[in-house]
Amino acid sequence: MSVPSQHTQLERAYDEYADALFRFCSLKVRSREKAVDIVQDTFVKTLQYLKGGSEIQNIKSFLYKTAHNLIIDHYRKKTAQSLDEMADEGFDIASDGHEGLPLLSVDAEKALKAIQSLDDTYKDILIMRFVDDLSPKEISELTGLTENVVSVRIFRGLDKLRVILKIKT
Amino acid sequence: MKDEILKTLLLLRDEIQTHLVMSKQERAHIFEAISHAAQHQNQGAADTLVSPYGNQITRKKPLKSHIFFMNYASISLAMCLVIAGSISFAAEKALPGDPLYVVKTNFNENIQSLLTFSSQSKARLEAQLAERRLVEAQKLAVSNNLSAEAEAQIQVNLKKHTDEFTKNINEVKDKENPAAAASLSADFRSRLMAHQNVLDSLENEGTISASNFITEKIASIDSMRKDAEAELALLSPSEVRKAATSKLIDAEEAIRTLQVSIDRPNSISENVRAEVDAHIVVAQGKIAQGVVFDNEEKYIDAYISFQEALLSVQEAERTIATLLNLDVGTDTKDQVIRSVVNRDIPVTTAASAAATSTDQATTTEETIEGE
Repeated sequence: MSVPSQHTQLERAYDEYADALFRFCSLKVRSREKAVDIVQDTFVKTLQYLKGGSEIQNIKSFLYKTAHNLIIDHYRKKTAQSLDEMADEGFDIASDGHEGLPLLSVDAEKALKAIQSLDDTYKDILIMRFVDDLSPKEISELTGLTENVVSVRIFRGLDKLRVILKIKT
Repeated sequence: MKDEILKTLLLLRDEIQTHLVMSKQERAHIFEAISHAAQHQNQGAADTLVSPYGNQITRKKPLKSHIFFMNYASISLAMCLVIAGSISFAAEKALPGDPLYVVKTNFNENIQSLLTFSSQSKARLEAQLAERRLVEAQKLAVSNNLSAEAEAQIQVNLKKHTDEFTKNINEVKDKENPAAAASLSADFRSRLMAHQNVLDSLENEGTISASNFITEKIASIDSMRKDAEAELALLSPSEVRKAATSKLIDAEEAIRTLQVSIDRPNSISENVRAEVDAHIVVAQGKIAQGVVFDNEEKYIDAYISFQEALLSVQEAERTIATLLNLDVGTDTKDQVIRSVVNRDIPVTTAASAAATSTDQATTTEETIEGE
């Protein structure tokens, strides 16, 4: 691909996905600053990949995957804090006064807390599906699971949420 | 109910999408970092990448080993870079005829355009560079140094910038952004007009030829803007309204800028103060009229009114700014300012042709040519 068309591809992707990637990262790393860094790194790495002469079929999936890997790297670097510890803390978006994180309405906050309280198996997929608005196909590309497994987890995850939020079926 | 949980999740998604967004600065910083990385061929560019918060985000190699192995070659390379840097810095002020002028136009400005990414920002940059060429011509003319050679050099460059501008504007339009294309053309127009006013007052042979050249360019830019505005008029009402609103904001901002600039001491003489104030009042009237149109849901008419207010105020503001940086007498300044502010606000939009009858559209054409 020619250099200018790479740029346009990435530029368009930036306009379209930068905010979505930022949300994706913010919800995972719990720090606005770090999330912005990861978004930046994601685009720079993607650019370098394109410059290396490689082509990207689906830029959206590629960006999410890169961000996903960078988030994992970020946690790996934090050796002092174990991964389990981080997961146990949960992500209290509304009350911990994180700079730059929004105040949610009561219902939305309850829903988010309920999602956060689920196992990682369901939590990540539900966030990807319902907060990041990714399709099951995109989630399957990102996580390496089959589309079927993703759909089943979404379904079961929703069931678990209903129980927690005491919504009758 | 299945619906209920989905409703809650939709609510959550909407709230997060509205509240959890990057600030303009954060976006701009990231964009800059990408542009920066785009200019570096090697992977190592990531080493020096700075995060928006000033932290280094990728550290691949420890720095200390480099210092010990720094040899004569790298020291002389560093010195060369320092010298090249100072030359490039000194060249920024060079005028045609200076040996450093070539560095300014061929090196510094080329780097600048390499660092510019989108067609929109490229068009904006080309407009600024064209403006620089005109400032150079004015400075030379004022000090009576505008030789035929320098004048030719400036015109060649001016043509290059306007051609590049046209190319980029067409790209912006092709990306289905007629509003941006129209705004950029309008902005370039007011820059050119401002300099033409000043050049005309200098009455030097070189400036007359430059001024004629600008007249030609303004006509071609106007026709581009009209195309873009005609396309804009075809968009959905909500899109047109959006464009009109942003014009309104720009126009009000331009008025504020003009007011601030004339309130500064040593800005304009008291002789023309009242006339400039009157000019602002006329523009405010245009804006008020636009607001009425907007309330009547005549968005394209509102757009035209705001555009006219913006153009007239911007031209005045830029003319005054140009004069301030130029060493000419107060009389000349007053005369130029008068000629700008006493001109009728021109009906120059093609959108008006789309919105009104053909008769009026013909008048529009004449007004432009009559300028």
